[in-house]
Amino acid sequence: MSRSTSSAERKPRARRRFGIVGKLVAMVLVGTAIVLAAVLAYSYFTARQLLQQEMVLRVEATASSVSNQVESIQAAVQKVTQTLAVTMEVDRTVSQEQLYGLMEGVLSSDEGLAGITVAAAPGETIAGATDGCFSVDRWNESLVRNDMHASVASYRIGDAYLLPTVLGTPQWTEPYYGEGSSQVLDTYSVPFYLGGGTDGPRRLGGVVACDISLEWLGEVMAMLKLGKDGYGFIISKNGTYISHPVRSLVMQDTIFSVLQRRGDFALRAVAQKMIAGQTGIASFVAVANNIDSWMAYAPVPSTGWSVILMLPKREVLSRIAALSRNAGIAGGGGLVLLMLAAFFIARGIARPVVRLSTAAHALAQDLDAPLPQFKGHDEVADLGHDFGYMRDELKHRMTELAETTAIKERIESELRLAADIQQSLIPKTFPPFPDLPEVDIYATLEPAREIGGDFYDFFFLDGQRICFAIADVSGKGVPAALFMVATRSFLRSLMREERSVARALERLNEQLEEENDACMFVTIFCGVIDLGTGECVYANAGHNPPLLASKDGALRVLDKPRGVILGVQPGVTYTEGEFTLAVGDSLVLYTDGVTEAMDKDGALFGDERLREVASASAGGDCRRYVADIRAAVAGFAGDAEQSDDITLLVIRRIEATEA
Amino acid sequence: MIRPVLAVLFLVLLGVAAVGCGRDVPASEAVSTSTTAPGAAVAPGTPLKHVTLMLQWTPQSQFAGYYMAKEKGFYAAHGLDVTIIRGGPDRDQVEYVKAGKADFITQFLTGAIMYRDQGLPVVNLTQIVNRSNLMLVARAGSGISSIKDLQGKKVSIWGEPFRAAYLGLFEAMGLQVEVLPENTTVNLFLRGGADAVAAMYYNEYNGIYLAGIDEDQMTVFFLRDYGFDFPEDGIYCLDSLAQSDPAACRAMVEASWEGWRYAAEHEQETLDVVMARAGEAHVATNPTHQKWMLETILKTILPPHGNEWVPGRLLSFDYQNAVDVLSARGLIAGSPAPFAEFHQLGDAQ
Repeated sequence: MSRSTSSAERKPRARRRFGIVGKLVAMVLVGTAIVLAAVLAYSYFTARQLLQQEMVLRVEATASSVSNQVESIQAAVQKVTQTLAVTMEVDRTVSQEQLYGLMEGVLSSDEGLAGITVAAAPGETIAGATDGCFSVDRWNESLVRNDMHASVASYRIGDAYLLPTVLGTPQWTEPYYGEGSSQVLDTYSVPFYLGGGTDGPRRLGGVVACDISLEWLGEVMAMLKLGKDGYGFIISKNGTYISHPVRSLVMQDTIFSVLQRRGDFALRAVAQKMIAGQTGIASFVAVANNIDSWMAYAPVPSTGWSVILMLPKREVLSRIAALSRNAGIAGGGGLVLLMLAAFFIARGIARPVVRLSTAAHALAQDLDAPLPQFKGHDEVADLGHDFGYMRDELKHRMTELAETTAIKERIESELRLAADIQQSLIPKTFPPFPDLPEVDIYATLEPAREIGGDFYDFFFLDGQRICFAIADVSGKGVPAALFMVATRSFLRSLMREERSVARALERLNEQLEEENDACMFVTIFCGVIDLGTGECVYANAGHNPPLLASKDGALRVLDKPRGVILGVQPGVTYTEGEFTLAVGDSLVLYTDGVTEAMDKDGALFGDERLREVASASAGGDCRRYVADIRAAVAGFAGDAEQSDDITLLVIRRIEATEA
Repeated sequence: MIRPVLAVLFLVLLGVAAVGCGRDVPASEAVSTSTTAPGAAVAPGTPLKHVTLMLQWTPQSQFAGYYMAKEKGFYAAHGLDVTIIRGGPDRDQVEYVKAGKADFITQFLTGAIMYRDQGLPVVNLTQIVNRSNLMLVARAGSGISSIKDLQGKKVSIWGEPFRAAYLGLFEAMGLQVEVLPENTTVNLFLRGGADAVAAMYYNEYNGIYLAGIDEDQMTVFFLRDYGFDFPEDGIYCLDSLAQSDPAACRAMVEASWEGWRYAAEHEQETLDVVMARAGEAHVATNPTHQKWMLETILKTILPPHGNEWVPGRLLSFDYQNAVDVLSARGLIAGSPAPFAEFHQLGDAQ
């Protein structure tokens, strides 16, 4: 096999960036990863939401448990205080000593109490003292009595007196620092009323106020199990920190001042919900440790306090984080396995394709290159088989093509041979009769691309007369050539048998017509010239009329008589014409290849141009005459392709002296 | 920044303690350690005069200028070795002055006028707070939207020297209100026991805000908007001291103003000092509140636009206005001192 020319121009194969394997693995990987991520995210957020709901419940439970503890301790204080208040209302005869004794008894029985104060309303008498004010305080493990009669006025503007008397109900004061100590105290203060019976109108009698230390709050909060970094704190009704792991905040800051200091104005609304006694949860960076936490809050109803629990988010979420991590690991492992599977499958497909591709490349160079063999019945194996089939078909077609080409080449060479033979039948030696000084003959026949049917001929009939002819067979190719050969052969023999040119053409017509199955025809101009006299007899079977040119350029067109073409209908008769070819005159015969030569615009050379050149060039020898006409035709046609045989025959009588 | 200064002061105080309270110490020792004092008014080597300055309340930003004057050595630079004594509900300035335990005091203008009437002949050396910070706060939505709405309402108000202005306002507006006491907290108001409460703009107002009441949940009335714009804190001393040692008085005034100007320009450093003083006195407070207090009170000390008043100057109009209101309330019995006698030094330098 010959190397095809196209393979030399083929561009080098572009390097693959992503093969089938890479694409398939990447697509599988990306698709699966997206699904996996979506599933993980969904489960994470769902679990987180559930956990958060659970945490709110847990915090609420913890807060209410703290609240219960606080309330149970405070309830005892409230009860004691209220009992004392009732005593003050009911027992108007109690002496100062009895009152002190009562207060000391209460303080002794409850270690949580820091002190008790009983103060009279302005102008009222308690324990025998008008505007009396008595207190017992726990001071270094001992109880100290205090008659505050002198400072009752300033006591009466303190919250412990002012709040319950103005509001008319028992009040817990805002927590405060005990005098001279860093102990946080809170006072439960109960107003008592006098009168209503014989003792005059019902009126404010004074207050009984019990102070309790809030130190135990810190212990309660410290015992909360809130994980490693979680903690709890308590704020008062005003938002003041009562208990907090950061001691410097306690009793100094309110939750609002801390939020303002941190520039966290959005959480102010949450803090307002806290002191309004609401329950809820918010996201907050813990003050104590700067850990992003959940802040859950619940109220202590009796005091208006709020219990707040800080739970680091990462601890809250650690359970689902572990869950998500495990799911992620499992998913990731699955992803790797999937990737490997995808890789091997893709490679199983891609490998034979690559082999096939390589083989196809080699095939382009050499059709006998081996094709890979594929086992099995999958698409790749089919493709391999199809490739083999294609290769075989290609080889078969190429063999056929070679054979056809050989046949064609043989036919062409035979045709060339036929054309050569045809040409060889035409006299080509000029001058043809060198021993004959009376006549000068020159002719040319230029076949078009294909073998054609033009011919000319001349030969002696006897020592004095020459027969000449020019003919044009219809059509082209071998049939025309054969028809021409037959015409020429018949013409030669008939002209020798018949004395009359017309009669010879009539017989020629009969001969040709008889076996003309292909419906071919021929035009012919045939004449016989007497060299001695110049007399010429001729007959024309449909051929272009020759020109008779005198040596001074005068032209005569031999257009009459003119008969029909040969080979078409039987029984045709022809009429003979006569003229005398004077010495120096020329007879110009031609075929329609001359007058119908076309330029590139399709215009014909035409009779007029022929006559012009025939007239202009008259008077010379025949070779130059033919050359001039031929040059005129060539000049007219230019680059246009020659479409028909161009045949010219010129006969001229010359004087013997000329030679 | 504050720590080296504190350390220096500690050393100075040790020095004071070593030579004994009340004894003069050479100015050179103090001045040499106070590098920040601008333009020392006394020559090196002059002994520092020991004096006491008693404030009218517990440590807070209301007194930031005096703390900074001492902290930054401005008093020492003016030849004074000042001991600052805190005030508070447990301390009576009159007693301290009479007993000679306080040479200089800070006090409300109305308070100082009443002191004179009580037989403590103090004179105003300079007026520090030149505008009133007194106000009334009610809850928005409680039906109180104008001052007239206080008619018949319970209003919690401090005692003197603050009460007179409020009662004067109610009388001027023709209001009958039920006056309830007010102590050092606003809890009675917060718990709904009072419909309105007397407040200092720099103190209680912010206390209410920091207890979770938003500004738009409060209706406020500034007394200064109703013709009761009494100047507040001034520096006072006995007339006798003003006569006998005018140099010390002027030194006290000038150094104190330097302290206030320093405080105005060094907020964080000042707040650190204020918080330290408050901590030493076991005052429950926080930096957020003290920052508000400093920024707010400064607007009534140094004129925000520079020309509303002359720092230090007490106008006779303001003095007379305060005297008239106190007289009308029967809070002063005797004839008040002529203005020229009451306000002796005046403008800040």
